[in-house]
Amino acid sequence: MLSLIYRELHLTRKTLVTCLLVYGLFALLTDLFALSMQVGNLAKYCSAEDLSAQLPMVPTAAIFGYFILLVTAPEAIFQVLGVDFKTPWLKYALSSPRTIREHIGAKYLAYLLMTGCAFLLGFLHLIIACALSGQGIPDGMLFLFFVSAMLVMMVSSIFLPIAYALQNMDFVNALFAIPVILLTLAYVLSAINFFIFTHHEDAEILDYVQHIFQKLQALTSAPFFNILKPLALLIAMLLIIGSYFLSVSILDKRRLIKGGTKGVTQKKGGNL
Amino acid sequence: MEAPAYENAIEIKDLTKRYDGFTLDHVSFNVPSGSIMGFIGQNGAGKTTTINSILGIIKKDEGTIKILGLDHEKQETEIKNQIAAVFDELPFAEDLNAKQLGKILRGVFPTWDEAIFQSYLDRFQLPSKKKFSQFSKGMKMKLQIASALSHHAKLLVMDEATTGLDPVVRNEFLDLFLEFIQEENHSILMSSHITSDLEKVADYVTFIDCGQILITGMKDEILDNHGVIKCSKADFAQIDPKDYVAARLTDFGAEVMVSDRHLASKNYSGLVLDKTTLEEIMLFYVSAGRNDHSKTFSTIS
Repeated sequence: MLSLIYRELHLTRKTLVTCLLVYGLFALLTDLFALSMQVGNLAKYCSAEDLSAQLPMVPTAAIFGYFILLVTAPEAIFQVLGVDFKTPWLKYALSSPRTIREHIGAKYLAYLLMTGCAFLLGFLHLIIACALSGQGIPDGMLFLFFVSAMLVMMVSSIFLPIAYALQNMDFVNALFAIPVILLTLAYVLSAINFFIFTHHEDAEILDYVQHIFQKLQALTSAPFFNILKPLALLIAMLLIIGSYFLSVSILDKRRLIKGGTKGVTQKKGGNL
Repeated sequence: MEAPAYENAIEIKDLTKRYDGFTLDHVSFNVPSGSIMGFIGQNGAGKTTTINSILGIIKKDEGTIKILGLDHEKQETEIKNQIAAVFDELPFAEDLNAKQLGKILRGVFPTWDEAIFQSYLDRFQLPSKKKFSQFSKGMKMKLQIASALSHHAKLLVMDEATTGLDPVVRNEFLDLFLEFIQEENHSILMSSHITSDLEKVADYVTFIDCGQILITGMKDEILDNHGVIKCSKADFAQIDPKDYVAARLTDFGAEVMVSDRHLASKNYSGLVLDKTTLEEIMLFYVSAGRNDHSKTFSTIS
């Protein structure tokens, strides 16, 4: 199983390195901005009130960077799946002594490993950035980081079995873009809400955005959500486990249908 | 050397697999232990479906398969530890190199032998740090064969592995297969429509067409038993249809495939009776089958 996980991680290394470089640059800019609040130009030329208004930008930027890492993990796995479907790898895998469960399990474990690393790296950077800006970690940040990871994992757990069922990564990638765009929008709106409306009550242009957020805040304060919050990890884990067994079942069932996976189905006019 | 505990490396009985528009219909044949079986058929005949069933890539609808004396379903993992599959396309991601592949396959096959793998890489002159995307088709196939022979497999199953390769490389592989078969308990099942390769190395051949087995048996026996009578159309009219498999009528005469050459030489002693090739046998059997079983077909010369 370790060698299969190695395969997954190795085939995603370009995506992961690119992501880390982009994230690193973003994190560096965030840290420089945070540092300037203590010892840089912001500290020199801004009033205490203005500085205080800028503070929330630091954790907000940290969340953005964290989101880049989180979304890269499933994309990386989809990339490997694309390679699996284009080559006869699945055919080879099915004829090897390793079971379907082990092959698919390696994919899920690699994904969980990447997500876990994204969480640790993202949260570490948050601590550093907040420290540099001379503020503590805002209340609820750890929970926000945690819930973000759970949300992305929940969405990915839906798409992995779909990928195995369709074996068309172009379609899956297009479909996956929808929740990614929605989540990105949510982050952008939360950032706007965070530091425009918290500290600039007279901003009229985004009154509509504030209205949406007030509605969302009311919803998430409801008793139902208060129960759900601590269960987020459990729900995410159950979804991932369910997704794994569904993927195994789908790949196994395809053995009963047209020659198994796409790598083995009848090519038009080709060998049977 | 210890003799194997089984007579046949592969035993297939009444193997049936149904698809829309195609059925592998009660296919039965055996691959004797220690031999090379050539599995011949044109595109769409059912070779890959049969091989996929043997390898456990698809699940059969009916029939039984025994591999190396073991039950195909109940002892699946044990079987897969001892067989190696080679496909017509490289199954490994092109972003990998041979060194990385060795690391991956070490975890896939419990009997993986890195030393043997490296020796094959050296023998085939395959660079261990070059990405597979930069390999030629021949190099990719050499890599597949190297990986197949590096985990002490007893049975090699190849699906059109030599298709598209130049004669020099194909010849190299044929020598390798003969080398593999030197071990008493090693066997090979290779599907191909390059019959000349099979004539060189195969001990047994099985012909398949439209999901059904046409002939199976020892290659030399099949070649010895079959022959082609070349005669005029007038002479052809005198030949009893029961005595031939199929006949090809041309503008100049007739070519008649017989399945008992020795009997035909007695019954039709005045006619020219030539030895035949596996390719001709396949063509005649397949063509006859496609012509509403009338046993004669025409070619325009």
